[in-house]
Amino acid sequence: MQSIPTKQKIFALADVNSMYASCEQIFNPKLRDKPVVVLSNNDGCVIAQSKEAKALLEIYMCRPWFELKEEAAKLGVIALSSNYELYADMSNRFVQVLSQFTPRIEVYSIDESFLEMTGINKDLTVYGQEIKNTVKQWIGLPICVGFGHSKTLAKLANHIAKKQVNFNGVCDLSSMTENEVDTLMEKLSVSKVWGVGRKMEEKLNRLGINNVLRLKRADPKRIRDEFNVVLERTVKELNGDSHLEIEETFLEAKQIMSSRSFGKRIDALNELEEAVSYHASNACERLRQQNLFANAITVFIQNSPFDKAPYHGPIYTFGLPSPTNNTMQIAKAAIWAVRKIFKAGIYFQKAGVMLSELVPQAGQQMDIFGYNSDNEKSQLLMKTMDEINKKFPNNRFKLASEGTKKTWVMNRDLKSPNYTTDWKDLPTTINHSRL
Amino acid sequence: MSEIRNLATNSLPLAYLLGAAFNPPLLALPLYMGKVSAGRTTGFASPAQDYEQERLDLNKRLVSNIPATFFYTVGKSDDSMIDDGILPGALMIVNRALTPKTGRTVVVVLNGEILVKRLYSRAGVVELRSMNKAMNYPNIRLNEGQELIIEGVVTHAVNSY
Repeated sequence: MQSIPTKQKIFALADVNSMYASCEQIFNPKLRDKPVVVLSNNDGCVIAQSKEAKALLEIYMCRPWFELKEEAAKLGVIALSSNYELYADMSNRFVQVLSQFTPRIEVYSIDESFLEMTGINKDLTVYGQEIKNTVKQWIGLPICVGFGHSKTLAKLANHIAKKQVNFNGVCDLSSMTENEVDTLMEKLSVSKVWGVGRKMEEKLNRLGINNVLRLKRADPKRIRDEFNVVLERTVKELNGDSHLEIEETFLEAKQIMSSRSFGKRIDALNELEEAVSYHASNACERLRQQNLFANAITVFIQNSPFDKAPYHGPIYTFGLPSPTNNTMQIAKAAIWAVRKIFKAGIYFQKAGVMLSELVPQAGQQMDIFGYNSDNEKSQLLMKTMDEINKKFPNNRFKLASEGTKKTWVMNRDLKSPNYTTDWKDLPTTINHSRL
Repeated sequence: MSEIRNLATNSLPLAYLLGAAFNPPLLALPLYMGKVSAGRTTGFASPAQDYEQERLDLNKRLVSNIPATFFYTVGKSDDSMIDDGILPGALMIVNRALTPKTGRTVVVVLNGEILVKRLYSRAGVVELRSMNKAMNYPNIRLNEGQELIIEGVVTHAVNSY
């Protein structure tokens, strides 16, 4: 082994295999070992597939569902709408289980977390198996674990653990010799490296950097000149020189709430939509000020306890497909929810929006989720929006959707029950002898 | 003015008092809060204050491992465990982290169906037994190579009457 600084850090990345499809298979045993695909909002395209579905057709991901429908039916593929409530609950449980293994965790996305392992004096391959088996037993989700001297290496290790069967779901790059690591890296394309997108891959290939090992050995200064400091940092990270820290999160639920009583009673849906849209955008602004992203949203409306009518205060909470702080996405969700809970003939006096399951800014996450594809652009838009509103506080720059009659109804015809968040949807036993 | 009168005479919905917080914390009223003003002295602390306890929470009593605990419902026509007090429609608290030992009540998946049974395992023979003498449901003995998935151990069942 090469001589390395004694205080080199160690990180792990724990990532759920086919998170959405796996959640569905736990609670509906009939889906186990079956090809299952999960569809995005409005059943638009495939956003997740079980390993059985992947084996059948690798190219399902992100393709429009209507194109695949017939072919999938022939192959016996079972399609489901996204059940965000279920995935959000299972994601929370996943993080809770991981917190048994290290005090320092960064929740990176709904299905992956970084763990700081520096100073944990254990055979990490054995420890990784223990983490994997515990998650599987406690909450039923299959995961892979990768270890490395930087977050970039941990992520790469996780990729290897996931794709190369002989690793049995755990890959520890930190205990391998440099030769062993290099041999693995030589076989991987640069696109497997955290933060390297398709365009960057093309450019790297043109420069002759066509595998991870070549990127690792590239001159950092040249990379900075040709690309940017981010990729320069990636090169350093590939060499085991850690530049990215664990961004810890609070496991306890934090919330941001925006609500207000109306000047007069409101009984029209479009006015309520305007109100919750305003609160959504207000709460989002505060979310962005704290560099946080919300995983769940709660919308509530209520009539006045002083009115003669019986008290009516419906509340609706649901999980968002991926953590977001985008006003447009959250306002859309809020409007959808208020339509769901609205009841005609009631004079409402108050409305509000609460954002919860907050996680810190996720940094380099790319567009895994259909609706996040314009991430960079929308971040820029949000930033501009915040700046304008700061300068002109009395003329809020707001969404046109506030108060308009745009139809935005999420279609989730194929959604499974809320097995873990709704009393009436709990998984139910049958009497075997009476079948 | 009418609002003030209403305040005094009507009991208000809890949600209003709590400022419409969603999922508000339990409004566990302590036995006594504050000081008793007695004459010119600064006051005595209530003698009850030392005995203040948190309100009993069923979650704490019934759920020992939060992430690994899942709730299941006993099917309406599933009377297979009634001798154990697990009635049709009961809510079951299932801990996936516990090791299923022989004699324990478990939730299993067999041939794609969710069942609740007593687990018996001896000398390599695994059996799932119903607990209903009157109906005398046959035991399910697992054949070699047949896959049994134990979802978790039932730690409590809650029946409603």
